[in-house]
Amino acid sequence: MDAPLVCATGLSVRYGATRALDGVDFDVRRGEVHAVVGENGAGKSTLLRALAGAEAHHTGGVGRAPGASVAWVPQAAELPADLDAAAWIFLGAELRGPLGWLRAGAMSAAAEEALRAVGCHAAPSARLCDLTASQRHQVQLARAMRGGPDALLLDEPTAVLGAAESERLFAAVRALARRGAGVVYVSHRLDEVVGLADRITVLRDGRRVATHAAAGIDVLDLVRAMVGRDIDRTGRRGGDRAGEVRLDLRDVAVGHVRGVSLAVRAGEIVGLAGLVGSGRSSLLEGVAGLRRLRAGTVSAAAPPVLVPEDRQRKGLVPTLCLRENLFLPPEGWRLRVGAERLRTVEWIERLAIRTGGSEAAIDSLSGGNQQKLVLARALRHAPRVLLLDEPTAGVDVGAKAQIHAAIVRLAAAGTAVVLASSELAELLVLSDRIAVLCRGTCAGVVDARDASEERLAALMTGAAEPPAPQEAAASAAPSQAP
Amino acid sequence: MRLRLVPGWSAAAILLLEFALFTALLARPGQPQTFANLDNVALILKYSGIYGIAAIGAAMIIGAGGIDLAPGAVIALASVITGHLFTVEGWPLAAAIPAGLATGFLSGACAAALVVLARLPPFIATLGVMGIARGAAFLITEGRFYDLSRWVAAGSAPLGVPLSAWPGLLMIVLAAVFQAVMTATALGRHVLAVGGNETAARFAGVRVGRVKTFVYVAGGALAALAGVVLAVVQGQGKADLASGYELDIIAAAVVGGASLSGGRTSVVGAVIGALIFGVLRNALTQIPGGTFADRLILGVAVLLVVVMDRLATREAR
Repeated sequence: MDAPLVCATGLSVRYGATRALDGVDFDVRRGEVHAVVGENGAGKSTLLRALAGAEAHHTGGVGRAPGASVAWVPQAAELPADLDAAAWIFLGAELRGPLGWLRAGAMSAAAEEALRAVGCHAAPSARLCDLTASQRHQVQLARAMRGGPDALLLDEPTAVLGAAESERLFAAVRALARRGAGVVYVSHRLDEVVGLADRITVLRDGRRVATHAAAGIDVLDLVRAMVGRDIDRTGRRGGDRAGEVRLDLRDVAVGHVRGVSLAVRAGEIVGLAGLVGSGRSSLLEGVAGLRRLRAGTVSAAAPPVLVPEDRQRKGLVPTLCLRENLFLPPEGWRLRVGAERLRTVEWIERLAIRTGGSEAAIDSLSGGNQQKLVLARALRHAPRVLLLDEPTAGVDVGAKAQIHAAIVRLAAAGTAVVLASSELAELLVLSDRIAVLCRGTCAGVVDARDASEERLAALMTGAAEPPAPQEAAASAAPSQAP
Repeated sequence: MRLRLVPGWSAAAILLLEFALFTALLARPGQPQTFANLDNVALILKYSGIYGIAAIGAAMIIGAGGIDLAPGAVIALASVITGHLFTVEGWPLAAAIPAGLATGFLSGACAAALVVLARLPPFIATLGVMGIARGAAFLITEGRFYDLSRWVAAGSAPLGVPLSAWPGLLMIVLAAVFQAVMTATALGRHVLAVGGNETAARFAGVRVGRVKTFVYVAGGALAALAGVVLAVVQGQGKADLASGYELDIIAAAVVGGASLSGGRTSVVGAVIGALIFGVLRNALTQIPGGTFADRLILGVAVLLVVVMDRLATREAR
């Protein structure tokens, strides 16, 4: 009865120079919800991927109980846009009639049932591209849970869900566990995890640091295990900065974002919070001039420099070496390779990039060091206005601290910084003020000293009232200064 | 430490091996070398020059992540324009040649406009340009051909260089020029960045549209130059010239180290690739029945080279 459904023994996964997982032991048993927590880059998604059997480059053992079915819901998968929900739910397991024809009616009805079970009200015939990010995720959940799997692997399932939808999901997960399935639940929302899980495993830097029974656990203990040190809650920035206004957005509309007004002063760090799909990246790309504005004006004291999110897709060119990526575009029309090499070595030292040298291939760098390279490319321009989009996504704890320190140094030297991040803790620690985007509009601007994760989450999901008039006036005053 | 294999080195090695192989194979004891002699090498250079000049353009286009199906048609069109203006309209050669080159700039600009402005996939865009160029050539000639050889004597030596040496000479000079552009200028790095990851290049501040325009216009101009050279050296302007050359040109670039997924290429390698095929074709003519196996051997050769290159790069990781 206590035999594990899915387990990993001494599991190690390496991508190039990055050790994503290092000798991890893990298992999930029948009827239990086993949560996995850890910071960005700790290895949670990699662990799930390996348990699902989708990770080819691993050493160590991954096993499952004979005949056990495993369903995996990854974090942010791209779904085929033109398929409808029912087709996606049944993809690979279609219901067929005696001659092999598809039984569309039966699939539609079963799909509807599966969607309702996870609390989704979309029609089974709705095309995936017409659904919201939240609904698409629910379709993924429905697909995974419909077949009554023996083991269910969930990766940050509530990242794009609202409060009500999250509650429905928890109920569905508990029901599944009661019926004897084993659920692996990865999340960085500790309060959720404590309420839902039977056991909690903490990963840090690819290693399993602790596994506890969830009953009676203290969230602070979990945080300490995740981070390895106490979080300094008093080390907040905030308050008004007195520098000149470097960046002024008036009623900016770009992509599906509209009506955003914001002013950023020299030396100030303004955080940009919002759910996936709220428009943060579109807004930053519009400010940087990479996307056309539909309306509004952006005035900047100097051309804003953007460090884009998703460094694999938008940041680095894999066929060029480290130095060539750093000097892209190069200075002048003639390449001076010798001078570039020297300057590259300077930047490697300045940002503590761990690499074999200036000619290193991009895939030999770990995620954190790749991110530092993209950051270095932006800093080369000595920007007076710097826009950062998820600068520590998928970055290990050490590199994250170094990147944070670099951002704070820049602000201290007078750069105006806008920092978009999905990690509320990061925003709270680094920002002076935090602007929250919800479904394309600005839901409010909050001073970091008065903010909390709960308040920000409420604004992000649209559940809260906009900030009280005094708060709004205080945060708006700097932007109205002549 | 990861080995960075310079694209093009394997092509150079293959060319040398190939030449040595055929020299040994075709040597007849007691008889002078029919293969490894100066005249034959000059012939190979002359023949390969047309492919090589156009392959330079193909190498850059593929390096930028695109593809060009039009060179064969542009070669034909340029030869027709030059031939028509020279023989029918009576233009001096010094005016007819630039006009022929202009057709290349024009066709390249059309391809660039279709790819950059209309956002057509390069395969489709250049397929269209290929059809239009070939069609225009046929329309102009109405099935005839222009004979330039009556005015440009076969033994003449413009600028002191023998006529038959021009294709090879131009190929080598242009290879040097564009290799320098690709390796020593910012533009070259921009081309490879666009081919390696267009989105990242755009976010880094590279003007992607301009880079793509450059490679397609350059590719068209180089193909037109090859067409003009073909017209003047062979003395014929015909609409059905260079039929099917585009695949050999792309093959030459790929054998020379260009990756069809973009971001890796070698101009010098592409020219060496053209020479590899030139040597092959030349040697086959000296083997009885060899010309029938021409396309078969070429196909096998391309696969071999690409597979070997893949294996070599994988081992280096």
